[in-house]
Amino acid sequence: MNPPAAGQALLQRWDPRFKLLGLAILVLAFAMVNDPAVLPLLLATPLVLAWFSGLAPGFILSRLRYPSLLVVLLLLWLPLAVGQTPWAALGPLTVYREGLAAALLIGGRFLGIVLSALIILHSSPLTTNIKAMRALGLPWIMVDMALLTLRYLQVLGHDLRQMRLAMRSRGWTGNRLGLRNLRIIAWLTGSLLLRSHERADGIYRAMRLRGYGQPGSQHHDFRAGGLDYLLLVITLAVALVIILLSLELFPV
Amino acid sequence: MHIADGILNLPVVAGGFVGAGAVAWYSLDRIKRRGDPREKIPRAALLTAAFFAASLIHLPLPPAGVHLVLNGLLGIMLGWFAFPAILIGLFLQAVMFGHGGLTTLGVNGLILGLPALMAWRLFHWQRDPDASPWRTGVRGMLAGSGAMVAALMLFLAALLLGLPAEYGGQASMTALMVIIGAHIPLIILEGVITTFLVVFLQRVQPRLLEGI
Amino acid sequence: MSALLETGNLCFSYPDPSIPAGAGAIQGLEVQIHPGERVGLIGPNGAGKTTFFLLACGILTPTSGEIRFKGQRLPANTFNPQIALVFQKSDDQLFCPSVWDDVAFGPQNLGFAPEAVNRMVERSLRAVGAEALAPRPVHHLSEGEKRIVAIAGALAMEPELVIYDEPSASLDIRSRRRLISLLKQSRETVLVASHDLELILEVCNRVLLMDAGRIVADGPPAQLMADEELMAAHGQEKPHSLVPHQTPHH
Repeated sequence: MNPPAAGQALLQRWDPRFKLLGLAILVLAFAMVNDPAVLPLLLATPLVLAWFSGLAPGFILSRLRYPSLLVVLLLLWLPLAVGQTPWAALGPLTVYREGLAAALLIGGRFLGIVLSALIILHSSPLTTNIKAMRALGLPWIMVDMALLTLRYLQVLGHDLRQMRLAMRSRGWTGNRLGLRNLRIIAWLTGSLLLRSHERADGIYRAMRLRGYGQPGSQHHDFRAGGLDYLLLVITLAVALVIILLSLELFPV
Repeated sequence: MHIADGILNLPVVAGGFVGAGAVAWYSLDRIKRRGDPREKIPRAALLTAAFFAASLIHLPLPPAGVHLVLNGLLGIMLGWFAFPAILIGLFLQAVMFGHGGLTTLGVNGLILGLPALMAWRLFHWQRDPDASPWRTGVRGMLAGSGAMVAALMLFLAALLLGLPAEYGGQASMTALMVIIGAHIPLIILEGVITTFLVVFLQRVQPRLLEGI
Repeated sequence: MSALLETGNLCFSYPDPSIPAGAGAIQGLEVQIHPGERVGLIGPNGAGKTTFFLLACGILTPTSGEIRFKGQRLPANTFNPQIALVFQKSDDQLFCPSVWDDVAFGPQNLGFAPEAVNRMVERSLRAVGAEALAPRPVHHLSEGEKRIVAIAGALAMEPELVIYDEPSASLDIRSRRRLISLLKQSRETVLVASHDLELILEVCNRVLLMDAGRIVADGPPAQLMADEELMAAHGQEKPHSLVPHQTPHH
C-alpha cells in the first residue's frame, strides 16, 4: 500500500477549520502527558498523520529543524542533575532514573507536538490556514495583519538581501562587533523600517481602490461534511485516551 | 528567548494562552476605539514583516552569534498594535521555520509582548518630541535594554512556574544564573542598537517614533 | 592592449530552487573590457546581466571558469575596491542617515583615515555635482538625486571600473540627461547595462548583446543595434534614432 497522492490525501481534504481545531486539542493533550509510558502512543500519532498527509517523508524531516537550545540543554542536564535513584554510571557522571524520565518526557512531547503541527499545518496553504482561523473567530484585524505580513515577508526579505549585497559591494563585512558595525546595522534596519512604512501607504491606497474594508467582504467558503466531523471525532478520541492515560486513571 | 514545545506543564501553557488572549483582546479594543484601524493595518503588517526580516540578521557575538529581538523598538513604533504583531510574528516563525513553539505561543507572546508595551510607555513617558537626538537615544537605550530585561524576567518566571517542582534545588539555581549571565551581552546589544535606531529615525523620519 | 576585466568560460547558476531554471544563469561567458572603454550591455530580462555584475564584484562565486582583473585572477568571494557597482534600485544602496555618511561608507570600509575619507567624499560629490546635498537626509531626496548620490558612493572608493545596472530606470527626463552627461565625462572604465538603448547609443563606444548567459554579439553601438534581425532575435528593438525617417523630425 502506497501513501495517497498529494492533493487527495485525507488530511488535505479535511476542512481546515476542523483540522486546526483537532490540532489544538491534540497538542494540548500532548502537553499534559506526564508518564513516559504514554510516549509511544504520543509519537505514533504524527506517524499516522504523516501517512494520511500526502507529504513526502523527506519534506517533513527537512522541515524538522534542530530543537531549540533550551530543549537540548534540558535533555543533557536533567538526567545528570535531577533525581535520587542512580540508573547508570558514565565514568564520573551518574545518570538518574527520574532525570532520565523527565528528559524523555520533554524530548517526546517536543517531537510529538512539533511533528503533528508541522504535518497538519503544511497539509493546507498557510493563507488557507489563516482564513480558517478567521472562520474560527480570530479577530479580523489580526487576520488581515497576518495575511499582509505573510505576503510582504518575502518582499522585505528580498529588500534586505539586496541592501546587504550593496553593502558588501562597498567593502563591508561586518564580522566584528564594534560600535561602528552596530551603528551600521541599526541604520540598515532603520532604512528597512522606513521603506516598509512608505510602501505600506501605497499598498493601503491600492487596497482601498479595490474595495478593501467594504461591508460583506469577509465571508468564507468552507463547507463541512460528514467525513470532516468523523475525522474530528477520531482526533478527539485519541486526545481523550492520551488525557485519561496521563491522569493515571488506568495505571499503565 | 523562546520556550519550545514540550517543556512547560499544561497549567502554564493554558495560562499563557488565556493571558495572551486577554492582552490581545484589550489591545484590539484600544485600537478600535481610536477610530478606523483600516489605514493602520498595512503599516502595522509591513513593520511586523520588517521586524521579522531584521530579526534574521546575524550579529557576530562570540561564541555562536546572536539574532536581534528588537521588541522594545517594535513596541515604540507599533503601540497597541505591538502585541498582535508579536503573536503573528511568533506564529509565522513557528510555522515557517520551526523556531519557538505552538503550544507555547501564548507564553512566548507574553514574554516578548508585555515588555514591548512597557518599552512603548517608558519611551514616550513625558517625552518632548523636539528633544535632541541624544536625549531620544537615552530613551531608546532604556526602552531597548529594559524590554530585554523584562523579557528575561518573564522567561525565567515561565520556566520556574512551568517546570515540575522536583527539578528545583541548587542545580537549577545555578542553571538560572547561567541563563541570566548568557543574556547580559544581548541586553547591552539590544540597548545599543535601539539607541542608534531611534537616533536614526529621529533624524530621518521622526513621525515613525510617534506610533502608527 | 591588455584587458582590464576578462572572463574565461565563466559559468554560474543559482542553486535556489525558487528561481526558474536558467534564469539569470551564466553559461560560458567570454568577455574582455579594456581600460578607458565605455561598454554597454544589452539583452532581455533574465539574460544574466546582473548575475555577471555580481560575479565581477566578487559577491557571487563562479560555478566554473574565471574572472581576471588586470591579468590577475580574481579570488572568489573577495571584495575588490577597484570594481564598483551602482545598483538598479538606489534604495538598495543608500541606507545612511545623511548623504555624507553614505558616500563615506565605502572609504571607511577600506580603512582610510578620517581626513582621507573627507577628501574622498568631497572629491566624489564634486565629481557628480552634488556637494550641496552632503548634509541632507538620503531618504528625502528625489529619485534622480538618489541615483546621483549612489553613483558618488561608488566613485568615492576611486575604482578603475564602474558598473551601472539600469542607471536610467525610473528617472525623469532631466535627471536622465544629467546622468548621461555624467557618464560621458567619466574618467573610469564604464560598463552599463540598460534597456535604455538611446542612452547606450549616446554614452558607449562599444556594446555587448547578451542572451541566455552568454555574449551573442559585440561591436560599435550604431552598427550592432541597427541590425534589426539580430536585435529582434534576442527580444530587442532597433533604437528609434537609428530607424531611417520618412518624415524627418530630428
